[in-house]
Amino acid sequence: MARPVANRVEPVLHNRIGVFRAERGMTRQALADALGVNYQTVGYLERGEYNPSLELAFRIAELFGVPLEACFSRAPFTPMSQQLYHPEQ
Amino acid sequence: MRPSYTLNQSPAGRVDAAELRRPVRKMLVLVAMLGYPVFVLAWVGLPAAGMTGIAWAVTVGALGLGVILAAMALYQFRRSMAQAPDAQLDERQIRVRDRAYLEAYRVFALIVLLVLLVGGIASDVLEPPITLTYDVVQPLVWGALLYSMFLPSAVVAWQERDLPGED
Repeated sequence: MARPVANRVEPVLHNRIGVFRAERGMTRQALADALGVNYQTVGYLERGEYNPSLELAFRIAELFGVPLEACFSRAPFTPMSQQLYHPEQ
Repeated sequence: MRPSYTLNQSPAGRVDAAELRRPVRKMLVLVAMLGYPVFVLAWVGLPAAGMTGIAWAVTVGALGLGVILAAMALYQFRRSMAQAPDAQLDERQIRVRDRAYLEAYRVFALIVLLVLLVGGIASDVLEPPITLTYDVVQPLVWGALLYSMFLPSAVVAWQERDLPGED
């Protein structure tokens, strides 16, 4: 699956950055400062409009203390509430 | 690849803060890029059309000022991501900047090609033929300077999307 990103076609990389950030009560600016990137880049990352480099992806996962695959996936994520309360669905 | 910054450390003198909304940026791009040919045509054509003196000076001055102000606003856009060195940008911004230079080169090459093509055809068709004097070359040189300097900023300003505010 692919979608156009700024005149290019890039593979979609789904992520849970927004979820993890919200869980920790972080602002985009705080996350951006922790990662050493522009806060707008965090917005692009959360919306899936920019695929991070492998190095940045690892840094994001390390910052949230989760495995890389918990943060990024090539397939859409199941909502966490469904995973927790309705895993059979 | 060596990162231009380290973990927990923002790029020095980081370029951020989109001060201008995208519709405003697009309008500035149009004013700066289309305004210059209009300015040159007004400079040359209005006296031929009978407008001279103060009216000509005010019209041409306003057009020129509009182009300069729009170009300066673009140049300052995000303290000009397009002009910033790697150390002041993160990896996404570096990619956007590099892509902007590629797009700008394509647009610039197209403009140069069109000018040469139109000039070549005009010199064959027009009677008497166009003679390359200082007055003819000067606006082309200024135009080349303007477009080569501001096109990357214009491409970034045109393409960068507005992001929703903090939720």
